[in-house]
Amino acid sequence: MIRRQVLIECISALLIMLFLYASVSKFLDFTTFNGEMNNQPLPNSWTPFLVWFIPGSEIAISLALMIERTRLAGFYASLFLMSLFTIYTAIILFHFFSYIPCSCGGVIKKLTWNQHLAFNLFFVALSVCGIILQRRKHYSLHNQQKNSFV
Amino acid sequence: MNKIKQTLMTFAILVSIGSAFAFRPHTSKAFENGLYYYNGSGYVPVTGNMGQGYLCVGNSDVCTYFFNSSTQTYNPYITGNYTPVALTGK
Repeated sequence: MIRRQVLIECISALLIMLFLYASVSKFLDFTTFNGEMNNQPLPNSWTPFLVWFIPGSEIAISLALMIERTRLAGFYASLFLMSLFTIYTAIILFHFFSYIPCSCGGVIKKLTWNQHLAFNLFFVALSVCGIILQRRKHYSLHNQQKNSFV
Repeated sequence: MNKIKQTLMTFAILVSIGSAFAFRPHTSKAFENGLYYYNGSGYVPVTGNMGQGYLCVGNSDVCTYFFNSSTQTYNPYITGNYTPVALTGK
């Protein structure tokens, strides 16, 4: 029980570090981030929405992961966002677009697209682990409460 | 358990925000003198902005440079191949 809780805390902390670092660095260098978004093979008309939506949702997920009551929702949101990034990276690697942009827009600018894919998959797996552990915790707490009434 | 939780959360917040500040690129330096690309013989100012005027394609080579006035050198800024596009963007 304690081991599971420590694992949940560690997974949350890793995801919070990822999302907070990513969002704060984007806001600290917003002009470059704007350019990097325009450099992606997506329509430039999406940029004004994406430059706020991506870091905004990263901060929202970090906050959700910090609060016990919203943690499960935070893990699901983290899985959703990381899956979107992973699918986008895979699409880039499969040459779906007319060109491969520089991988400079990612969380760690020096990573290649292949390294980005591995990095994203790791955090997708971490989010899945978080969901499983958090759900088990909910079920065991629920069962304990049920048994105490019997 | 609460103590472990608080310590971990504080550590995560401090490390992430601290490293975002620590690894922040010095863009002010980059934009002081504008951005340049290397055309084979010299450094030429870029036209427009990234995504509107030019693209940085792939990961080989250096796409844009910034002029560092203190060292009087052109330093790599963004990786990729400099590819001019229409100023209206994609």
